Amino acid sequence: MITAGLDLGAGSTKGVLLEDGERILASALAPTRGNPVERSRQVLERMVEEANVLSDEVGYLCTTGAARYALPERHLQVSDITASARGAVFLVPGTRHVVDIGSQSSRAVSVSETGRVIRFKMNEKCAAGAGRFVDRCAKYLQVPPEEMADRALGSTHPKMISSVCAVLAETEIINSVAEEVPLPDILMGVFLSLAQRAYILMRYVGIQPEVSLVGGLVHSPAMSRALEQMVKAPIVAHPMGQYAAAFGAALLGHARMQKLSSSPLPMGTPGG
Amino acid sequence: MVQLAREVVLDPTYPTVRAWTRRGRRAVGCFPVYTPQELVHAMGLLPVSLHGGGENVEISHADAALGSFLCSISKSTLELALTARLAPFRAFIFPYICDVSRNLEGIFSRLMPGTETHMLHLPQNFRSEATVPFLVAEYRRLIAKLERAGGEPYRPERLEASVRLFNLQRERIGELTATKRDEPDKLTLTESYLLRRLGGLLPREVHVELLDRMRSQIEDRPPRRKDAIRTLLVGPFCEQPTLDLIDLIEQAGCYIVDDELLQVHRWYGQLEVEGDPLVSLARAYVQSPVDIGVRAAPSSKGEAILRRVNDARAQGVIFLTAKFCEPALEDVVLYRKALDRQKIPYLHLEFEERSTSFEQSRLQLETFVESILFD
Repeated sequence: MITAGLDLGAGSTKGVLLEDGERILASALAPTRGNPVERSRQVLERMVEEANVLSDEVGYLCTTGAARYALPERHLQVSDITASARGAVFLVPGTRHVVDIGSQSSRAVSVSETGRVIRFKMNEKCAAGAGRFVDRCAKYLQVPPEEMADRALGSTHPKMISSVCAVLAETEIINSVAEEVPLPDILMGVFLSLAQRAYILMRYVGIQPEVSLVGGLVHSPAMSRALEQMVKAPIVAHPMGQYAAAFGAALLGHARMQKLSSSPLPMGTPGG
Repeated sequence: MVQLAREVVLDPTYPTVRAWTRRGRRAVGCFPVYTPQELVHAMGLLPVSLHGGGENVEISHADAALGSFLCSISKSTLELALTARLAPFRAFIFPYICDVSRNLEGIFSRLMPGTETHMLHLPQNFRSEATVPFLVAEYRRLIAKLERAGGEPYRPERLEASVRLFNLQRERIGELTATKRDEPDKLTLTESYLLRRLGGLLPREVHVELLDRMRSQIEDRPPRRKDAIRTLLVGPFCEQPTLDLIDLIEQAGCYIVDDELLQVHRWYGQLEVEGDPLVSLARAYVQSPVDIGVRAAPSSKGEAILRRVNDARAQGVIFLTAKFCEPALEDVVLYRKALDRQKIPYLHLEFEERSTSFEQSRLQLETFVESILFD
């Protein structure tokens, strides 16, 4: 029984293929670039190729992410909060708290041992609390985004950004440059500022170990360090954490497929 | 019928009230949450529930008088007044539910010199022997204002007749809400809301007739069960969410089996008049089981929310609070504590009258539903 989970995110489209809701057959990622449908079809095609299976063998396709409703061939769509919570527990069993820093938004989620969402809180309409903020800062500071984290780790006296607004933060960063604050300190300040906003969300839902970081910044050791500094506890960043929502979608798709094969759908789907 | 209701509700020029006043009758605007509309009716006036301007009113004048940190309903109601869309009204009643409503009454009294405005003080102490006499005295102050606004002189027998009519209306609305609780697939929250909302805009006899006609239509609908979550909706007792947001809640997979929308029609059940009808009306207010943010709770707020969850057989609670609505927000903390203790899931969403994008709300609603649907 093969299920596909596709996370049609604002920044990138991620996909995973799972066999029997356990074994990872393939995963793929592509920048969304404003075309989530095209991109998710490409991602699916790549995964089918990588797994060496026929596309017909994919029995259930579950989407998540900002554009989860966009793909007409989906069987089910689930919210990215539900999906990343499931995915985080799949990747890091024992996770009780998920902090998901995506391109356009951040969320903190407390989860049960099965990955069911217990409480959640997301940031509202503010780029300063999301991954895109790091990209913007990289642009102001003319640092390649992939070098941001490594250079930030060289910081000795991080320069915190006090502004809660991404636009005003830009001014603050320019002022820091003018004041000749060392670049690593400004860069670490960017990550700490993001961590501080995430920490507000995390406290709202209640922080309980293990804490897993998922989303696009999972490969940034500076982000994990900044969060650890705020939370004062270890943060687990699984190497596949960026795919957490796609994993969650595939797992929920598998659960749904099992339910459907054991008994016909007794009622319509929610909202259907 | 529901489409017609939608048009009437969304029209900020009050077409039903204009039709009423064209016949030489007079109307009184009643701000939420509770006003004794039977009393207004008994004096030959049409009591009309004011619920702000909704999504169709652009604020261009009211911002000059009210700060940006205040709720939308206060600004849009003032905007309607400043743009002459409340011209058909001869009087306005503002119950003292919060500082904003109190100040709005003051602003209306200064800006609308040709009309009567009244600040209605409702008691919060429900144990004192002085409570009912206090409220009766308040009602007498209101009567004096309504007489000045062109109402017929107060006569107890007229109030008794009005109470009988309003009892009938409450009974029909009670049937509607009971249907939503017991057979939530029979009508959507939007339908239930629009039909109830008409109750504050139409002559009450007309509304009762309309609900009579709708009753059989709703009963005849075939069942269409959805895999949806029975949910209690708490918070929107004053400012009203947009119809798009009301639609969205059930589209996302909830059945709203009880709510705090339009409480004025549900403040008490069948009102029995014994002796002085003014005393009966005051007593009914005081003894009301309604337990919302603008009213001190007879029991603890925590017990109240758990009882309501239990009565509605709800699986979860949505707090839908208007931005800057202090009475609604104050209770959320107490409610949350009680729900946490019982591990009852809940979601808190904020709204404004003129919200147009609901993507964030949709995401949160879907997550809430999925957290209950999937083990």
